[in-house]
Amino acid sequence: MDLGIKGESALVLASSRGLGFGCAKALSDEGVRVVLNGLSEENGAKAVKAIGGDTIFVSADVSKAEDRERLWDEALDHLGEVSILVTNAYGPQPGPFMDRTNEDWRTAFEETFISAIDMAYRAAPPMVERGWGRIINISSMSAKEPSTNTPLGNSLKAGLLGAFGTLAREIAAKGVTVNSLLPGPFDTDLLRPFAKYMVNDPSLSDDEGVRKFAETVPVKRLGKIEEFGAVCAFLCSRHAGYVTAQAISVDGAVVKTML
Amino acid sequence: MDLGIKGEGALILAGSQGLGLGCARALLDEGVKVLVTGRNAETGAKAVASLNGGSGGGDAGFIQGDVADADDRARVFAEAEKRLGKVSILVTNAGGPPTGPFLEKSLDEWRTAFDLSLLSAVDMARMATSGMVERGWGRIVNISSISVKETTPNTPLANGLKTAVIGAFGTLAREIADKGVTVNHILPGPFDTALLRRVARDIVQRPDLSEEEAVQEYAKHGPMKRLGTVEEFGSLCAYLCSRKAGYITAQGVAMDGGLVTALY
Repeated sequence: MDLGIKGESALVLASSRGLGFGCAKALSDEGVRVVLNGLSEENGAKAVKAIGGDTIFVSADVSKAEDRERLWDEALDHLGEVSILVTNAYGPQPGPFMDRTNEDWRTAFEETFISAIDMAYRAAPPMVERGWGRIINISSMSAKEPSTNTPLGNSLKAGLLGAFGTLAREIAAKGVTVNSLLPGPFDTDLLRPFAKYMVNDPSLSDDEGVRKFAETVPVKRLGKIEEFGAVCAFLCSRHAGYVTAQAISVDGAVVKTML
Repeated sequence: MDLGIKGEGALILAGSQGLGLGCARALLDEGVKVLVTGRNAETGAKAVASLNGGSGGGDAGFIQGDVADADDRARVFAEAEKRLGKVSILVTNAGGPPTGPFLEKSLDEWRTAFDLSLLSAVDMARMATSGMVERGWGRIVNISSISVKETTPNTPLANGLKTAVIGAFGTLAREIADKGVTVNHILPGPFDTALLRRVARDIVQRPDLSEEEAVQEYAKHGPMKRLGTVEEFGSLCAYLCSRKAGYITAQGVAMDGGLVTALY
């Protein structure tokens, strides 16, 4: 299927590894020019090499306002325009609700919530002006069914669905769609240290935690980064123009909620 | 129906008017000791007078404080514990953040809304929960909005941060579910309150209407063609706080006259 987005320009946040990388790679495979972002230059260089073409990596911490501004400027310099934005951020620290301080909440708000909406504020107006654009928010299945011991992520990623749901409807008539992907357990570097908390057994090693978590997935395996990238690319395609304000689980059927 | 909560102590945030006051009234009627908070002393005095029947005979009380302010929250909670003996029922509530399109909101407006709508509830719940868990009984009811279920136009701040409370309290509810403490939400639709009057024009996207006309227009959106009353709201709140509702936790119950069309 020709996704019809050859020549479009994508900025993918937190994309040197994991799900963000999966999205960047899938978009690039469809002929989209891509700017990658992350913290580590080393991971960034590896990702640029894996994707090829004229892909560049911009080292920036999306939880910091000045880094977001620089990232946006460099992306525009390189791409000319950003017609596809993928918002993503590293997950906030795990641990019980009762142990989180107000400061923990404030930090998580900046990292998880403000980072995404600030980039959407930069990206959406030019998309509206041009009459075409795609914003994909990488959320989590915990926005739909809260995971144990991840109150910060559960809360703020759910909150983003409300925020982006509002934005989506404001610009729905302008050719710009805004959707969220709710990943379940994927085989990523990020998941490995979290898995033992998700199975409520912090005494496990990272590997044991991952194995035990995979057993809880109806498909009995973790998702592959490529599978995630494929959904992302489809939602960014011309074909997906009537899909907006949706939150789509990509989770091997972990979440049991019917809708 | 005897709700079995006579003698419990309830702290109701932003309870000097509107839906919070409705909850206070209903709990008071069940023999619960009630304290309401609010920013305005005059509104608070009126609320207390109305709760106590104007005769000064009741013992409902008011604590002045801003739920968006961390120091105020700590002071309010300490005073509530002192005056009630225990806070075994907490109703979290806050005034609505400013309305207006997503694309016109600044990051600082989002930050202010974070303190008002999310952190106020999270912080108060954390303070109240320890004692509830220790005593093996407690009720937290969060006054949310139907906009966490179906986004309302022109209320992005509330849509975002009230939804965030659902995620936060969903986690809390399950952490303490086996300790006799329940955490639930009521999702009000259009009720006859001052807050609705303030936001109705934005919600129905009719700036040309008067506040009253906009409220009536919003009421017509729902299949019941009327606004809810604060008494109706209070009764659901009291029920969720009752002994009978101990198996209901981590739920968001819409009370909206059938306005939200999502199946669940």
